Amino acid sequence: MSWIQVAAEKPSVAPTTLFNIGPMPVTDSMMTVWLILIIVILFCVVLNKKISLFPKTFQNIVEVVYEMLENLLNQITSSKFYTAKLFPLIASLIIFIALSNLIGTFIPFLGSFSFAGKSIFRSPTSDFNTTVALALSMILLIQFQSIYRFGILKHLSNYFKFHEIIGGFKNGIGEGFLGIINFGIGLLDIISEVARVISLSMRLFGNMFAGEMLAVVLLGGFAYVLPATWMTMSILSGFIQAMVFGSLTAAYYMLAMGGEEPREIKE
Amino acid sequence: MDPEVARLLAKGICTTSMWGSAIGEGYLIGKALEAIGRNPEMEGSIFSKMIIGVAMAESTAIYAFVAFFII
Repeated sequence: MSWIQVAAEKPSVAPTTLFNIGPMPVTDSMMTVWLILIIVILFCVVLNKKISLFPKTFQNIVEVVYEMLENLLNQITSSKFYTAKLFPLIASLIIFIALSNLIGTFIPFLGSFSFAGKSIFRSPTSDFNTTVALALSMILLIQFQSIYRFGILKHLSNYFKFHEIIGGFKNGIGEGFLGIINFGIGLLDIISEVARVISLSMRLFGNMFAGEMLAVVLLGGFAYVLPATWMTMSILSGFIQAMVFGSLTAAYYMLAMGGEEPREIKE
Repeated sequence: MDPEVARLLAKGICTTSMWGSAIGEGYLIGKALEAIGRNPEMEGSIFSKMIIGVAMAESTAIYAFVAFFII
C-alpha cells in the first residue's frame, strides 16, 4: 500500500467469538450491545436526577426528540390510543437502532480495543444475528397481538380464507372460482409474512454491513478526503434506516389491527 | 472456467440489478415533487414520507450490494 492508502481490515459477515459463558459464545457485537445499554441507562439516570417542570437546556433537547418521535408515530397510526400504546416499543427500537448504527462513527477509537488479537467492539446492526433477532421478534409480536385481540380462529381466517370459497359458491359458479383465487391469495399472505422478516432484517443489515465494507475499500483506495464523504452519508443513512425500521413496524402493526378510520388529531 | 473467473463474473452480474431501483426512486421523487408543487404547505409531511419511500425502494439495491460483497 502506498502512502495515500490505508490498509484496514474488511468486516466479516460472521462475528468473532471472544469467549464462552458456559455453552453460549459471547461475540463482539454482544459486547457493543451491552455498552449501548450502559450508555442509555446512565443517560436516563442522569436525566431523571435533574428533571423539573421548567426544563433547562438538556431536558429541552430530550423533549424535542420525544416530540419528533411522537409526531412520526402519530402520522402512522392516526389514533392517540395506538400512539400511546406503541410509543415505548417503537421509540426504544428507533433509539437503539440509531445508536448502534452510529456508535462506530461517533466513538472513533472503538475499533482499537482488542483482546487477544481480536477487536472487542463491533456495531451490532452490522451483524446479521442482531437484525434478524429484531425483525423476527417484531413480526412475532404483531402476530401474537393479533391473536390476542381477534382470537386464533379469526386470525387464521386471514390466511386460510375458507369463507371466501363458501360465500363465492353460494352466489354462483363464476363467483365460486373467484373465491378460489381469493383463497390462493390468502395463502400467499403467509409467504408475505416471511418476506417481511427477510426484508426488514436484510435492509438494516445490508445498509450497515455494506457501509462498513465500502469504508474499508475507500480507505484502501484513497484515504484522504473520500472516506469522510462516505462517512457523512453513512451517518445520514444510519438515522434514516432506524426511522424506517420503526415506522415499518408501526405500519405493519396498524395493518394487522385492521385499519381504523383516520380521525383528526385534536391538538 | 476457473472458480475464480466465475466468481468475478458473478460479482459483476450482481451489480446489473441496480438500475431498477434507480428508476423506481427517480419516479418516486418526481411524484413527491409534483405533489409539493400542487400543495406547497404540506411540504414537511410529503418530504418525510418521501424519505421513507426512498429507503424502502433502495432496499433491493442494498440486497444486491450485500450479495456483491459476500460473493
